[in-house]
Amino acid sequence: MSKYLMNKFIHYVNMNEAAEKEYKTAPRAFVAKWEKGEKLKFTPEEREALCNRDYAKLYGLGAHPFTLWSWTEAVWAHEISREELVRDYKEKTAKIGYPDFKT
Amino acid sequence: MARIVTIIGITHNPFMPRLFGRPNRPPGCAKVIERIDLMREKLKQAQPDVLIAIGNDHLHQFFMDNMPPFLIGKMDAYDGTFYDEIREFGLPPCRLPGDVELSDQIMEGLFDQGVDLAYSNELTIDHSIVVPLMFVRPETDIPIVPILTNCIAPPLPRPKRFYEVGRAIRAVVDALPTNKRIGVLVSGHLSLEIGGPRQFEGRLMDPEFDAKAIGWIANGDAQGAVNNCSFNQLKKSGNMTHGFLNFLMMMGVANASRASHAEGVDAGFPAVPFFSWDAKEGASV
Repeated sequence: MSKYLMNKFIHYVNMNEAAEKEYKTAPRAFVAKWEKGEKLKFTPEEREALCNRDYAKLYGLGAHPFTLWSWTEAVWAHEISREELVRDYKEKTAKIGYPDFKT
Repeated sequence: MARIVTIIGITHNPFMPRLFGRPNRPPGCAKVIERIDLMREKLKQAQPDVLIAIGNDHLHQFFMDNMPPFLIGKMDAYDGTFYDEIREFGLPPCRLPGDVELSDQIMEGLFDQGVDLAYSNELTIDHSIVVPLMFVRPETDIPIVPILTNCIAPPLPRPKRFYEVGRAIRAVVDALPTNKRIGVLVSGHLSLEIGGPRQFEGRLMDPEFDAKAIGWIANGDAQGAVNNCSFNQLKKSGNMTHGFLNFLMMMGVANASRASHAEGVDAGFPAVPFFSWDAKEGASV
């Protein structure tokens, strides 16, 4: 069920402006606070990937690609150009292939 | 008796409205804009009183805590788009009028047909209906009955079911005791990848699939479409190609008749679909 929770986190941050800002400012603290309010728990690997905004890792763990890209742009666009982000995202996900994102 | 005065199938590519406004838009956009104008004119000529708007939610209102295969909106008016779509695509928030009476009639009728829709009295609509309306009815003055599908969060309803639900919608509408002129606006796409290694490439994702898909719709070949659109078959053509399933529902609404217009435009990015069934004066499509 943690794959579902990982997607829920990505979905929540992606769709809420305040959460997006708070997460971008202090990812680790925000992940810890958000998880405390949930019944389900992340695996250590998922938690670490979320704390690091590690889109390639999350892709490999089965994050939903549609929301993951939107989220990736939202949480990285202030630090890296879109062009560079698209290039890096494509390059890294190409090495992973097409993981199952069914929850 | 109600009449279906037009069926239009069109892209919901959310990047397009902003792209079209740019002075340096890609050259292929001109043909897309011309086709959008054509579809807008077809809709205008058909003079619908109400639009059944079929699309798929993109993990906005739908989420995996409570995922309906198919859902109908039952509201007097709907809010359009979400925070992330305003941020990512620059879509404008909007308010779309609804026809709650027709929503109810269609839902009750579908239950009688053996189609158990979920429903919502608090539905916000994402780009799958907002973008088509921006293209073909920017006035957003025609009330809508939104029907949303799940073609994004697997497991998905089967292709056969998309088609059957379309047939059932048609049967219900044909039997409605109303003089309303009903238009059907369906959105989806051809081969497409988002969030995977092949996203944002300046080319058609899978031209072979696109050509076959256009053929199924042009020829009313529902069986061909149903046999070739399983989850695993579609994902080979791009990880989000499943948005094509909405067009199987459209084929059902058209009772698998041949389309008047069926085309996938190559504009230098994933193919842009345009379909229509045009009614003769006084008849249903």
